[in-house]
Amino acid sequence: MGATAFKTISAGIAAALSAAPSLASGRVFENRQLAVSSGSTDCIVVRIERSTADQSTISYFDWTTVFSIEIYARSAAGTDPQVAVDALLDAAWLRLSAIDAESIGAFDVTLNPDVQWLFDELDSPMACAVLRLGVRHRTTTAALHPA
Amino acid sequence: MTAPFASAQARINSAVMRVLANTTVSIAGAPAVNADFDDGFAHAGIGSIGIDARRTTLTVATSSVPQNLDAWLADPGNERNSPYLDIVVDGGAYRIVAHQKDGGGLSHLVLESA
Repeated sequence: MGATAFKTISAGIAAALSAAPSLASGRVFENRQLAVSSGSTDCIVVRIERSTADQSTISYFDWTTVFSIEIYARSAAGTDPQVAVDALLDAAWLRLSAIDAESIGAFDVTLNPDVQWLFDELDSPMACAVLRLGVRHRTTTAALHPA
Repeated sequence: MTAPFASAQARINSAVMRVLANTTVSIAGAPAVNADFDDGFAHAGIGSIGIDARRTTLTVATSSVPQNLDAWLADPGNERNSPYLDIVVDGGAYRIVAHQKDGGGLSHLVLESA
């Protein structure tokens, strides 16, 4: 038995961000629960949020699965933390907007034009930018595997 | 004449810094003073997981903080003020980014890694 469509798509999104040259020096995680470690300057987390389906035919569900893409970065002392996350945000946006839906088992990928920025400052300024990705995909009504 | 309470407070702070200080520092080129350096773990709660970091502070007697420090910190030209705000503690290079007086004669200098 293979992975569900949800897991397959999540892995596909993470793979797009990790493809060489990998963003955040390879620190791309799915559904990470632990904080960005002290030794990491940046990190990307692909997080599955919610899936809802409508039954477009008797045998299939057409799902909309929402993912958040959390982009974390630290900046140098005394600098604007937005600068630290800006290049990674830009690179992630390019990768996500170029995802071929079919290649990750979906029929549509929509990068929502909605970015949230969050900031904090301890021994250095830090930022997190959050993107949201909507993925349309299909399964049969009997199983959660890609149809 | 110094008020009795203020005098007692100054003596207590002096004793505290003499006994509890774990380092000495020179602030803005002034003679070295006793200080308590704290570089403990802290968590920045941004995003869903946050970022592990350190909260780095230096506690000194307010009387040993240069009178111009607040003005240097308030000046948007931070780079221009770096000779005054840069500080070396136990061999590590830091920059003072905030000055928080406790109102009782001690000051907490918030540091960032330079």
